[in-house]
Amino acid sequence: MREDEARLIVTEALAEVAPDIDVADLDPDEPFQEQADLDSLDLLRVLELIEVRAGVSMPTDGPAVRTISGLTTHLVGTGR
Amino acid sequence: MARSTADSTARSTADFTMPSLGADMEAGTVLEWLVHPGDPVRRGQTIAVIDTAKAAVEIESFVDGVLDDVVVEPGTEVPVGTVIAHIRPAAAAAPAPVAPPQHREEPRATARTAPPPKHEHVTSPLVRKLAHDEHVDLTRVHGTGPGGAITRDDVRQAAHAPSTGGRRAVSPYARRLADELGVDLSRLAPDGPPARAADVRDLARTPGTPTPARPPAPTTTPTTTPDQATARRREAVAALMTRSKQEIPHFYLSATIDLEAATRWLATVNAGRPASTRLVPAALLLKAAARAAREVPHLNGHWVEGAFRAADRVDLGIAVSLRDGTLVAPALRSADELEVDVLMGRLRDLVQRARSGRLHGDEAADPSITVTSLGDLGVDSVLPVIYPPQVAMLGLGTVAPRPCAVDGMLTVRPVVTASLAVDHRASDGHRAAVCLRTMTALLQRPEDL
Repeated sequence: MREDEARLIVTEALAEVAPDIDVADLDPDEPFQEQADLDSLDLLRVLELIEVRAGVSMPTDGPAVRTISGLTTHLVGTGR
Repeated sequence: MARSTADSTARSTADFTMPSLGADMEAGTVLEWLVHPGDPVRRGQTIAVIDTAKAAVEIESFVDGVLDDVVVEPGTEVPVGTVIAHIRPAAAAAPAPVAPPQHREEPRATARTAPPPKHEHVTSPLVRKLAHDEHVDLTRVHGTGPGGAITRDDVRQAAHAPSTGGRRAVSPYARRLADELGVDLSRLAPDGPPARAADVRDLARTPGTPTPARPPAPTTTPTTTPDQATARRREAVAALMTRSKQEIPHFYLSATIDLEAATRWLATVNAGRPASTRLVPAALLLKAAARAAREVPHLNGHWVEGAFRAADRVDLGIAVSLRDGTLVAPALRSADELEVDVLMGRLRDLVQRARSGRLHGDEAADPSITVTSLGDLGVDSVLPVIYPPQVAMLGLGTVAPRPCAVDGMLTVRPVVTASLAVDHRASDGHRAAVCLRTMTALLQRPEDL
C-alpha cells in the first residue's frame, strides 16, 4: 500500500472516531490516544475501521498502534 | 421504566404518556416522532425520541396497534405522566384493558453495533442489524412491507443496487456528520463511490447553494442546539451531584487488585482476534464488579423514602464521558449474567450510542449501581460521588504495572485500584469490604467470569 493511501485510511478513521478534532493538528509521532483524548473503546474502534478498510490485521498493542506514523508504517508494510 | 404507561378504559385508544426515565426526571421533551398517525406500531417498537436533560432516549410502544394521534408535538416539554399520543390497540374492536407493564422488557437478543439510523418507516431490530451489516442507509430504502415497513428483502435489494435514483450513496456516518455540519448532501456529485466523511468535510469548506435536487425537508426540526444540550446535561449532572453530596453520607474504601492473571488471559484471548471482537480490560473489570454486586446485594439497589430497596437485577451504570465535556451514565442491563464477550459488545454499543446521543429507554432508567473508569487517563484511583438514589459507586483507576510483593518477593505486576463509595445509611464498611474482596477473587479466575 502506498504511504498516502495508508495515511488517508488512518486519518479518516481517527476523524470518524473523534469528529471534534482536526487530525491535521495531531503530532504523527506522538501517541494519538492522549492527543485526541480517546479511551480504550475509541482506540479499538479506530483499529477496527482501519482493519476493515485496509484489509489487514492490526496488532493488539505496541508502537505500531500508538502513533499515526506507526499505524501508517504498519499499513504500508502489510496493506494490500 | 422503559415504556410509557397505558391507561385504557372504555375508550378504544390507550394513552401513551411521557415516561419517567429515572427517579430525578420530572419532565421530558418530545424530540421526534418516528411514526405518524395511522402508522401501525408493534409492542416494543421505538416510536419516539425523548430528551430527558440527561440524554436523548428512544421510547417504545407498550402495545400492538395503530398510532391514533399525536398530542404533543416535537419541541414541547411536558411533565412526566402527560398524555403525548394515543394508540389504538390491535384488538380495539373488542377493547381489552391494556395493563401498564409490570416489568421492563427482556434483554435484547443481540447487541447492536451502530446507532439506529433515523428512519421514516417501521423497521425491526433484525432489519436494522442487516442494514448495518450491509452498510445500507435505511432512510434511503423504500419499504414494501405492511404500512411501508422495510423488510429484509428491501435492505438486501438496496445493498446490491448500484445507486438510488441518481442520488449519491452516503455512508451513515457521513450523513450524521452532514447533519451536524449543516451540509446539504444534494451538493455531492451524483456519481461515484459512496460518499464518506471526507467528502462531507470538503463540502462544508466550500459554501454552495442548494440545488433543485435537494431532498425534502425533514418532518421534524432540531429543537435544541448542541450548546443548549450540553448546558442542560451539565445542569442535570450539577443538580444530581449536589443532591448526592447533600443527602448521602458517603464513605470510601479501596483495594489494589492484582491483574496478572486477567492480563495474561486477555492477551491470549485477543491474540488473533480482529479489533472488532477484542476485549478491553474494562470488560473484565465490569463483569467482576457486576458479579460482586450480585453477591453483596446491600450495595445493589436504591435508597427510596428512607429505606434501602435491593434491586432484583444488576443493572450496571457506566459513566460515559461525552466529547462535549459532559457525562451520562446509562445502564448495562443484567450485566452480571452476560458472558464477557457479550458484555464487551454491549459496552461498545452502549458507549457509542451514548456519545451519538441516542439511548434506549431501558438504558436511561436508573441503574442499580454505577461504575466510573478513568483508566485511560493514567489516574491511580477515583473516589466517586454516588448517583442518587443508588447507594454505591465503584471507581476504577489505571491498569498499570506496579511493584508489589508476591510470596515474599518483590515483583512487578499489572494492578488496578478499585474504590468504592458507599451510602452509609444503606450499608456499612464490612459489606463494602466483602464486595471488593469478591471482585478481587473473581479477577484471579478470569476464565470463569
